[in-house]
Amino acid sequence: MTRDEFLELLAETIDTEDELYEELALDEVEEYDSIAVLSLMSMYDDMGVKVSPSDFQDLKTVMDLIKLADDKIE
Amino acid sequence: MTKLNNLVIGASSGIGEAAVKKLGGVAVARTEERLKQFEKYELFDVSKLQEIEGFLKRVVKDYGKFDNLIFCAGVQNIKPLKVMKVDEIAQILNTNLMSAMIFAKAFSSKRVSNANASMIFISSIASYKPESGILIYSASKAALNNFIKGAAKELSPIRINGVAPGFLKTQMTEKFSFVYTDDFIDSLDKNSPAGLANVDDIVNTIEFLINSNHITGEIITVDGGAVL
Repeated sequence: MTRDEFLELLAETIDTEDELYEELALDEVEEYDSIAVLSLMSMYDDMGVKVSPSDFQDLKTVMDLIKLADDKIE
Repeated sequence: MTKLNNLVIGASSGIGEAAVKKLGGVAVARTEERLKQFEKYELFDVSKLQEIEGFLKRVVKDYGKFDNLIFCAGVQNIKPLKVMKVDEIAQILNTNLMSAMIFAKAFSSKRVSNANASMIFISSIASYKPESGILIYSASKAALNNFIKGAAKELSPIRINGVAPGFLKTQMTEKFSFVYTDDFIDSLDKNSPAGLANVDDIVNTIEFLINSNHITGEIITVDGGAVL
């Protein structure tokens, strides 16, 4: 999966129409809430990436979400 | 007032057909014959669960994002549980419950519905008061009521409500005229304090819910008081 494809999947998973980019703070993404985190855990699971709720605690930016799936992104 | 873009599922008869006539929108059903009366219609079999999301993506391209989902598709089978085949049980659950839930999932996407969207599902008083011979139907509607309440929380700000009719004269109930005899209907009418409701009463309640910006997670009973 390319980085652009991952960002598209990310946007679809948390159901945002905002453009997601690496530096974007997660605080600024209106849809990024506890339900979104549950959706993201399912998304990472489908990608074969093991994550736990605590992995999301200190995330600040979209880049941090990319890093969680680093092995799966070209 | 701006015309709302409604998506009405199960629009070839009964409540769905009356809803499109009064409220407008894109009419969806399995068969084309009764849909031809409408300006905008699409053919789709709601029991094809895996195709629901793709169907919604396609209709959004043609008609734009929707304001309301009015889900009226439903099947009933009057049979004692002991003689029901597994396929018959699955068919009722797929159409009345699984399909409703997957439509809600797909419709809640911002790519499909507008910010102030709402969804209205047709339930039944059988959801509160199951009767012999319609156990699976009753269970499917009871589960739908529960889903409406939970979805109203999780899918907020989209509002999600239900309407629970009592007995209605529709194509669905006409199939069972051996049970719903004239005597049965007369007796039901006499035992309903406000008299039997009809399809138009249900559509009026749907319209009320569409326009009620602070009602969500509610199932409104429209049965003339039959369930009391």
